[in-house]
Amino acid sequence: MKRESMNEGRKSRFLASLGMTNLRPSVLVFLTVVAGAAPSLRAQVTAQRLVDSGKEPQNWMMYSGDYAGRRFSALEQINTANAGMLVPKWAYQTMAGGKFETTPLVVDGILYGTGQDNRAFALDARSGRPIWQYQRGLPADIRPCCGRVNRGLAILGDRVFLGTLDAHVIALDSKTGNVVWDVAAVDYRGGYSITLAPLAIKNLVIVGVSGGEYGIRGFIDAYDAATGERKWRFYTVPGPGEPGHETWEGESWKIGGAPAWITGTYDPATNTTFWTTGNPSPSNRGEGRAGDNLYSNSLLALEPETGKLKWYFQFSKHDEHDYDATQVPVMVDQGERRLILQANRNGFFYVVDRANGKLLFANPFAKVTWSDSKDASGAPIARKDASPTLEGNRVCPGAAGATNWMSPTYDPQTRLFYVTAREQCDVFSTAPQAYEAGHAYYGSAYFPNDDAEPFTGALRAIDPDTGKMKWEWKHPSPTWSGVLSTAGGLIFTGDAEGNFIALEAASGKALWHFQCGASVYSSPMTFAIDGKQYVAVAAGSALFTFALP
Amino acid sequence: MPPNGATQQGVGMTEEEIWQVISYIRSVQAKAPAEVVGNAAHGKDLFYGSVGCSTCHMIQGKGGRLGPDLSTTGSARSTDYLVESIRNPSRRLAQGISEAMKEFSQEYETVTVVTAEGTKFTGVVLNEDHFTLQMMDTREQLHFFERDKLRSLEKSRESLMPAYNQKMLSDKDLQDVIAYLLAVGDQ
Repeated sequence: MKRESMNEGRKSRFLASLGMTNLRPSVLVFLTVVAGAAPSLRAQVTAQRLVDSGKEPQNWMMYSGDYAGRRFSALEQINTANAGMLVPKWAYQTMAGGKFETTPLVVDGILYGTGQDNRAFALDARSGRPIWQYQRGLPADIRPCCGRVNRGLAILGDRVFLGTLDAHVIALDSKTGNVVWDVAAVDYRGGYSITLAPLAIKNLVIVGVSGGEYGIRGFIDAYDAATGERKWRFYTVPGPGEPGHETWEGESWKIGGAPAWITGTYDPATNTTFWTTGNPSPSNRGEGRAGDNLYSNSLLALEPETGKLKWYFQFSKHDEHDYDATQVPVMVDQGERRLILQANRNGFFYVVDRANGKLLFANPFAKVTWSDSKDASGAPIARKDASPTLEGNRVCPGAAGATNWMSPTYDPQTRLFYVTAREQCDVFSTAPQAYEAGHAYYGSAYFPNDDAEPFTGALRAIDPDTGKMKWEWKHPSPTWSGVLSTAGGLIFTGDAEGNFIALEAASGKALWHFQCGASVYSSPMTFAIDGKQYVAVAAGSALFTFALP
Repeated sequence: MPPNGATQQGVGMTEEEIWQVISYIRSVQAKAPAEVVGNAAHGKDLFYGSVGCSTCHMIQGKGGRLGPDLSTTGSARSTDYLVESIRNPSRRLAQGISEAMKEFSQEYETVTVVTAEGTKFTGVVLNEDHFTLQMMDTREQLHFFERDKLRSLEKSRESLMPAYNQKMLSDKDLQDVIAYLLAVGDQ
């Protein structure tokens, strides 16, 4: 007892010197681990620190906050009792137009973010003042489908890593923003771009590409963080002689799409990285690509050192509705069960065994009409008459999906999964279209459903045990904001009307909101510095931070 | 992949380019020889007179404020759309404020609120979010409310504008009103 109290006394003095004494005890335990290795406060980000990210909740060291993709923080200074007192602390303006989709990283007091047109920046996280800014000179003829966006960086060692709209992977020095290496993943003129935040595992930087609208052949790459040398490539559309190639008709595999455009997750216990893929190309015309079209709209389990496929699970076979599976595959452990949870763009919430890719169940979390039956494994099967037609066929969810790339969160305290949902049906049409390299390739046009019917959105809390909804928070219109959960019993999300909102995780009751002045197109995060917890979100062209007064 | 924002139309284009295309389409639409046989001068009389359009609609600074300004509607909308908007205004509510980056414009929904003090206001929604409401009542007074401080708030997609049937507005007079809208829109 005496020894423990002495330790406590030392901890208190040390933390007082860091200004950390007003954090709750459970956070102190976490912080003490870091404090015990005081020199590491300004040390490099080792691969082991990334694995142990839960031990330093004051930092946010990867896109989803941890390798599990939970977007959950153990910080609890801001909690249900005081969230109503949150005030803005600082804002950083990119002054760039278009959607600002970044989730920043914070490591040891420095915030690293990205902006439109491949901006990157590092800020003093306490004040918001920039210490460096970078912007890539982009060619005039880049082909991002959906805005000149970027969702964030990875960090490893003394470098941050950026994927670019012209399909390069770049390492920047974390203290200066200087370019350390710059490699072209592929020729962007084929319709390729990179918008996701890379994922650093061990000594590798893993990225996937965007371009499902352009008839690309998707892939996932791993680069040596030290040199930029490509260590492996996993084609998400198998070539001749590879398993799965038979799921493509004729030469359609060459332009089969299946881009991996959202950051994956990683299970250190089994040394497996999980990545998800998007639609087969052309997105709205199945004619000419008969078969399941592996590995489009799939969850892939890869060995990080080699890119070797361990298993896969395909959510939407032979998709004709643009039902990308590019939602963060969230790792959750329930007792002995090791799971992946995904609320999919196709409207179903899936629970998959991450040891083998076996489906445990799938339940709708939004209005679904494309499927009305399931196979023996419980996987939803597409209705034959749900295919797009020349005249147009109304199907739910619409092309933007029941959810999309905005991050969900899993809160281990409430044991609920929270996801941004969208209620919109569309009229899908299809028409023959010749492929032309680098040109938009949909095999269709789809038209929003009758505009007499308003579209709505909601934040939904789903019980992973049952797939049933526990509560929902209705948005006046669909939002592209992701969701953050914290140990303070809070959920943070944003809306299209510009509000950044704190909700009680258990009930969905709103506790606080702030009007950012423009729609939130990003997923929020949280960090702590000098004993003060901040919550950050990008909205409009500004990054906002909030804290208690 | 993600139609980031609602539509895939305009893929690979900047927002500026998309608006250029929209402007072009609108300009072509205005020049298309619409089957308008109406008398614009008579339409103007109706607009500001017996039909009562100007009670709620403004053209070139003259008229009411409750409904959308119609100064450029003739150049931005098809004749079919105009006919439908007059005969059946609730079928497709007019669009109001459009905020940068927000996917959908605010619509001219009808709203009735009762304040905590018991005062009732009916009018149109100028804008709203989860927490607040900005409205104009039928007397053209602006009101800004926090939703949770209201006793009640009811919205309806039934337009405040009457549906002008044949009895209220003959086909001929309808053509005249549309002719006026098109003539003004071309100016």
